[in-house]
Amino acid sequence: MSVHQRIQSENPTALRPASPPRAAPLVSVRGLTKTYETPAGVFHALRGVDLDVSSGEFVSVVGRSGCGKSTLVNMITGLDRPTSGEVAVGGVDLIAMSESERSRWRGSNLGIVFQFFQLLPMLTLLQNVMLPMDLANYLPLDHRPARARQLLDAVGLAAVADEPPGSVSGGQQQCAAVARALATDPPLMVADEPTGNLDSSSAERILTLFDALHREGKTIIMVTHDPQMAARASRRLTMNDGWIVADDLL
Amino acid sequence: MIFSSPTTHKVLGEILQHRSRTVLVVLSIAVGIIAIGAIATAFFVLPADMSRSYSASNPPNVELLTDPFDQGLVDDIAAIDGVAAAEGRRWVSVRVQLAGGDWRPLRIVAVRQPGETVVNQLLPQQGAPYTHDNELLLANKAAERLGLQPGARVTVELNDGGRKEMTVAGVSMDLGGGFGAIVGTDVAYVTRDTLPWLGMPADYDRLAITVEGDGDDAAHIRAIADTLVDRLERSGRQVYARSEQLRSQHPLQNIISALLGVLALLGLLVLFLSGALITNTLSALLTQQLRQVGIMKLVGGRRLQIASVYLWLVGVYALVALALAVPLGAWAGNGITRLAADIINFPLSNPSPLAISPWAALLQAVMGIGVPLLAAALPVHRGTRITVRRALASDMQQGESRRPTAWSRWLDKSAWVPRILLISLRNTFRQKQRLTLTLLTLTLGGSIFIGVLNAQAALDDKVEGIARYFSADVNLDMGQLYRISRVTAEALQVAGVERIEAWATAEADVLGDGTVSERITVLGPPAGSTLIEPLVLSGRWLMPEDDRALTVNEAFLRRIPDLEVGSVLRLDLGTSEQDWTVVGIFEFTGMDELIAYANRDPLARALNQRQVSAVYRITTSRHELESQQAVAANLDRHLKARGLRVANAEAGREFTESTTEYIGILITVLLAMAGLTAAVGSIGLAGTLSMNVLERSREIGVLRAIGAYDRVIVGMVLGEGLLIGLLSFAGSSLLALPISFGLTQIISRSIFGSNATLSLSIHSFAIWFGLVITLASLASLLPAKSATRLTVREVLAYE
Repeated sequence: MSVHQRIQSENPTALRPASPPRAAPLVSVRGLTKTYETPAGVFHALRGVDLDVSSGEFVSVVGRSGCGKSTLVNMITGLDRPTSGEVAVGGVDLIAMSESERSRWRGSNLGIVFQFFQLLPMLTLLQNVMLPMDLANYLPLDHRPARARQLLDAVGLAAVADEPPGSVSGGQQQCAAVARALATDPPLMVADEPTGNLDSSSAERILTLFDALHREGKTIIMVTHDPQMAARASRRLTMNDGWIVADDLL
Repeated sequence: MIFSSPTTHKVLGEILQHRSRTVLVVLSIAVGIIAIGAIATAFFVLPADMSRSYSASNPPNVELLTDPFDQGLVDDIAAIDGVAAAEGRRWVSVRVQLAGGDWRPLRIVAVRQPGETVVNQLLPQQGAPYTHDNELLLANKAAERLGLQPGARVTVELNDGGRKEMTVAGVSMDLGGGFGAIVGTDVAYVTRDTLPWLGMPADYDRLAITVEGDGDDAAHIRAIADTLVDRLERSGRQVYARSEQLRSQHPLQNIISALLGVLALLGLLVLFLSGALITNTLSALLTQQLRQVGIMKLVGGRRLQIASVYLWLVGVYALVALALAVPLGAWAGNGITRLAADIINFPLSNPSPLAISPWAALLQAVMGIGVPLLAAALPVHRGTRITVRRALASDMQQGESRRPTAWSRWLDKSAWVPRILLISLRNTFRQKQRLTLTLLTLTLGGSIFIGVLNAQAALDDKVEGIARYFSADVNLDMGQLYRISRVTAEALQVAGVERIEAWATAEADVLGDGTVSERITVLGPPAGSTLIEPLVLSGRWLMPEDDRALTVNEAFLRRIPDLEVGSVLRLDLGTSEQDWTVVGIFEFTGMDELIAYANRDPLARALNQRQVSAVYRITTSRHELESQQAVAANLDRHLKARGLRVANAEAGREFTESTTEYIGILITVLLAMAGLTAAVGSIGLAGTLSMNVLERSREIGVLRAIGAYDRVIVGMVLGEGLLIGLLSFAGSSLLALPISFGLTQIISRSIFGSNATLSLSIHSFAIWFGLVITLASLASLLPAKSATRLTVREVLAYE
């Protein structure tokens, strides 16, 4: 019997959320597994994960490299499909959708912030922020620039809105990526190592943004390997070897 | 040892693990080498076989139409110094009934024995090579068109209306048919002794002669011909027609040479474009391999060593492409050669569709290895020059700074431009070298395609332009001058003949300062003739009351200084010297010959031919080629039956139809080459878009992550493809102007010996527009599909 199975059998409530949600959860994961066939053998990235995330929660997912945290987040965002299990976000079954349908769903329901920013270099920061609005047909065409400027202003980038990503610092690019993630006002924001490529002051700036968004009621799931970053959240999931081994309210 | 080395593994790995890229590179190389192989095969085989088979048939150097003569004269002529061989012939126009009951004209050529002709030897194809009396030996083209095989019985209608049943003894190839054999009268051979059975005198009226010595010396042949004409005239005979040709030069040699020249140019162009494609593809390959180059340098690889790895890779691609291209090039080249041999009517030395010409294969090998290595040199040089530090740095384009241009600033400010369209626009112009090479291939392909179609339009116009001056349904040339009333009365008895005009014709010398300055042809239609639709450039056309008035073609302006409307030309018409006034100058489609028109009456008066003529132009009730041919054959039979000598009775449309058809065949071959060029362009475009998708897979992953569904991704790739297609169309339209001009003049000079007026047909541009949009869409499909199949997790390289 593995460590994780022993923990579960000795304390069946150990892996359940510390405080049960009152309303229907925004994110619901049941029995999620993900295995990869590699030349070295079968790799179990997730081993039957159950998780509920309520609306308005700021959840950090921590663990060592290879523990399955990014894999879990990929399942929640629909960027990857599980080997087995269920994933529902906002009541929508992501497994049942095709790749194209999940892309379309993400545009309106999800904002993603990547470790390496992933801004399109041939567009200005303003155009990068407008892009999800174009894809989701959010707001009339002539309203989109104003909203994009508003979002960039909120993240402190009004002065450089018309610059391409290559002309601004890493921190500014990540702020722009946050603005882009908010473009269509999605209920859920997911950030995978958002500060992993930033210096400490830029990282602090991003986390301050996340704090502000949380206070405004946004639901945020953030993957990080840094315990100090994780402590900024209201709830911390600790993963190890494909399991959620701890679920703490902060 | 070599097979286990890391280098070999690297090369094989690149080939086997990236199959679509391997296919793209191999195709890029193969398409150019196939074109070279096809054209080289035709180049090395076609003229040689054409000339060889033509010479082998012992074609006549001199042909004369004269008064009737017997075998004795033939033997006497053969004994003349300088004459190698002589044969007598007689042409008889009959009609033959086909299986469906239709009648078709047939020219019967009577010789001593068809299977034993020494001059213009026939090549047996089917059945008996010899005929007995009262049997037919069909020329192979006639057998095809009439649908007759050896052993068939046919009904032949004679000059006097009588009918005979004849057996087809065999089919032979007549190699000396020339232009007329392509589309023309059907020919059959009979023995001379068959003539009385056909109601004709058993003698000859045509002499075919080969000369001793150099059969390709025009001056020598002319001298012999002069001797023969003199000999015949001293024997009391008149020579009505004379032609001379070289022994080893097929009558269509110049046209074939011109066609092969154009094809060779196009083939080189395809090869150049193929090289541009290879450069493009290898540049992208090296860009993708920068990290690997860095690692190889990190572990001690020197630049030359690394370059050799990639050149080896290119060499393997080239060998694979060569293995494909040699047989395919031979197949295509043999196809061109067989098509030409079938049209021109000569046998090939090796008719196998896969016969490989050693010289063509050698050329393919040299080009097939050399061109890819040359094309790879620059990308390999650039790619292996990179430092280790740069090569191992992040390959993210986040650090890429974009220098704003006025165009991009305008785009940035335009909120109405969807961001996806912006991405397509910017991506299209991101890799300028790649875009330039892709555009080059598509643009050249398109401009050649449009140019070929414009050339066809121009040449068709030229043919129609010539036909405006020869719009009679039947051109009847008598063997001598006859009373106009007699010929008219007889001709009007032939079914289908509606009107007949007697023309006067003369060869005249233009005199200047007492010396001959130019020789001109003067044609004299009756006043008010409707058989001419002139294009008058200045002055006017002839009026019925004009006396000693001329209209002249534009060639006069080039050859006679200071000529203008109102100029007076002193003409020596043989019978007298007279002053004639130029009242108009007309366009005669750029021919270099000097041609003038005058009213018939004053010209006939000057020639003392008021009541007689040898030239008649006939209008028939129906104007299709077959109807004209039938009336011409009937006229020929009818007049000969009445004892009148007919030199030639020819359908008016024969010239235009056969020339138009021949031009059509040339254009088809050229369009095939243009199509190949366009195919190179399309492969280039597909390759460019595939490379763009590959290089932007991370960007596509990001788009997927933030909401771009399949239709958006496909639309983006398709948008880029169509934009490149549209840009190439603009370039093609411009470049098509000089190409149209060049192709038109090359082909026109080879067929007509003169230039043609450039014609820009809107259809040419419209057809290419439709094609390029289709090609661009098709070329975009596969890369677009690949783009939608990229999984976000893989391209964003999580965990």
